[in-house]
Amino acid sequence: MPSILIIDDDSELCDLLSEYLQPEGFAVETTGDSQQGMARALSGEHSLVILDVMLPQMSGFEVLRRLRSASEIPILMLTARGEEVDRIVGLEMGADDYLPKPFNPRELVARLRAICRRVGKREENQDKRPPDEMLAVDDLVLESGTRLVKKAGSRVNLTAAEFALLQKLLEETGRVVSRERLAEMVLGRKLMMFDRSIDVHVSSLRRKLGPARDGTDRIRTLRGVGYMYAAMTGGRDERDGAAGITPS
Amino acid sequence: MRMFWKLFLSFWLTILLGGAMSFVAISTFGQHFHLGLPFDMARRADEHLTKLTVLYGRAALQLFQNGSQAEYDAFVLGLSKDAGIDISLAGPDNRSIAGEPLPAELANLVERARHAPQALVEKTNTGLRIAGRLADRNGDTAPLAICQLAFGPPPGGRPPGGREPPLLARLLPPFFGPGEIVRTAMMLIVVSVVCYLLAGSLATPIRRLQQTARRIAGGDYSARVGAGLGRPGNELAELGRDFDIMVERTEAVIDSQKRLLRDISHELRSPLARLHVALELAKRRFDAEEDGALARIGTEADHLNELIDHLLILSRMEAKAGSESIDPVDLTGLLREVARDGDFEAAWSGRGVEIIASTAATVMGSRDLLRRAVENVIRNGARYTAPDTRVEISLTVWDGQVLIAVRDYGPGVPEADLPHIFEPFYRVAKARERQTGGTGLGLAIALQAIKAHGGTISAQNALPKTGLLVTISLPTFS
Repeated sequence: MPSILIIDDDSELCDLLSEYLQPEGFAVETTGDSQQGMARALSGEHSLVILDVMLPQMSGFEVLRRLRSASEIPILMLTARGEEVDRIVGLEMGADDYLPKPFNPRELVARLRAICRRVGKREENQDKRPPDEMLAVDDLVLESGTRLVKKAGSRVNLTAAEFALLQKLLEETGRVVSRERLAEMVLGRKLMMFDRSIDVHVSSLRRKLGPARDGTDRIRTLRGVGYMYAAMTGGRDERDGAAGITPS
Repeated sequence: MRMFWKLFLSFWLTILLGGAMSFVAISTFGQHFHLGLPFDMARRADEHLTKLTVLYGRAALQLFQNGSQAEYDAFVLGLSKDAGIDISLAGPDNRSIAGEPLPAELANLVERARHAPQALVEKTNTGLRIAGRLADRNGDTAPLAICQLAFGPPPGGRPPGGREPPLLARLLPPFFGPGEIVRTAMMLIVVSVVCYLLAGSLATPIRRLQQTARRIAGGDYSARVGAGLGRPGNELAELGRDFDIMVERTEAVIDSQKRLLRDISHELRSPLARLHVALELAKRRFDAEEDGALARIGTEADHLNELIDHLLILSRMEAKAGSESIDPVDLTGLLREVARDGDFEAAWSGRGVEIIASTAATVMGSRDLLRRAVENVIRNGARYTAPDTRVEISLTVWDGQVLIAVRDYGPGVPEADLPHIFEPFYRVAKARERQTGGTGLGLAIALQAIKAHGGTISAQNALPKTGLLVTISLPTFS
């Protein structure tokens, strides 16, 4: 059972997260004190640290810097939303992932699992276990386990919602997925009247992926129905490990 | 730099003008001195001199007639040495008393003096010549005494006897005379150096104030004038000190505002973060994944979150606290991107976004802010335009201004509401904005972003079909 250390001064959030994460299979320890948190993180008893950027005595970045100088323990940063700088600085200083606050706890669980898998892969480099579930369409590769998306070999940075959208659309390559289904999968809720958020997510995903190699749109709109990922060669050419896909 | 040269020139001209005026004043005063006071003295000196000439002449004549030649010579030489008076005696026929002919310039004077009622005084280049009869009888035979006095140094050397130049000439060396070009040039150089230093001592502190003010205007609130504008008590130094105090306070206010924004962001989002986790816990506990009420809570939490985002963006822009980068932005490309995204997002519901006219246009500014501005206006249009219509965008450049027009085919806005639609949270009609999913801040953000770029944004109802026309105007960068 992976053991997680949460360093966040919002003790109520820590309690709620403990309650949420334990049934998901994580052992959780929390602290609101950065000094104590650092000492615990270096104890070697945890497999992952969730670190808030806004800590009272010492900023999360400082904690991150000191931890990184002594340990390779995976760290997920909780950043303030809209502070792009925080995200970039965090990643540059060696954070493994970031999540803007407030977040959907399902998203947190998915990220934690992905980090564990990535670290596991790194540690058991020569392990013979089968590769993670992987979707490959055209020049896109999506690894659901490690939550990596690559276009022509280079990584594409997607938000949680965009990743979930792409995963769903790729699974259904060449078929229309209704907006309602996408909303339930991605936002975890039904669409309200006049709710445009799913369209905005699809739009920004489409912008990040750019056009297909032959210049056509990767994602198409079907009026009044939903969206579809259109494969370039008109078919679902490869689907590696399709049988092993687990909804996340 | 321009101010430095202005100061320099005005000092320079002032000094030259002052110099010229005092020159005029002094020379006028000097003339009065010469004409007034010593006029009487000169006349009386002339009288004394003529009497003296006659007395000296009689003494010399006496010695000549009764005494020896040696005594006469000693007397004449003594007068010349001690008093600077060259005396000679004239006999009849314009000859000296010894029978030698008189020099031509003396002969003329002697001739006139013979018939004059009294002694004659004649001014020469170097002094005076006085001729007077020695006997009180008229006629050509009476002997005459002629005295020659030299005053100033004659050209080419001092007069015999090493006499001093007159007082006025010693105190004020003549300006206009030989070497006047050199003297003028030297004076101009001295004046220029003095003016340069003076202008510099005024312009340098002001320039430093200006540079500091520019850095602050550019967003660098750590800039200070610092000490060194002058000694304490100097007005410019005091101004610099007050300026620094002002910047200090401004920086403190901006800092506290930034801190407040971060605090708001943190304090409002913390409960939201807890709400999200609690909501998921509730769904799991009551096995209520499909529950509409819980989904609603989630939607409203998302909406709140979006609202906080927009509020933060807006207040950050209003405080101009963001250190946005300033680059040339290709507005044509930016607009094409935003329109394509907007078209894609609207396509699902049968609406669309289309660029109907475009031209190459570049503006200086922050790409991110400009994108937010046009995106908010276009999304607003896409939200209200009727199904099966398209939001139309045109980009034109006219008279140094980029004009972006965004027209939708929606219901438009009542005229009374038009001036207010760029105000935060202004709701047209009855909560229409909320129904259609906006935060009520989109157009307010667009207004701030456009204002930050020195542009304007306005709205009007379009004709002939109903709809709203939003026009953005920005200065071009060329």
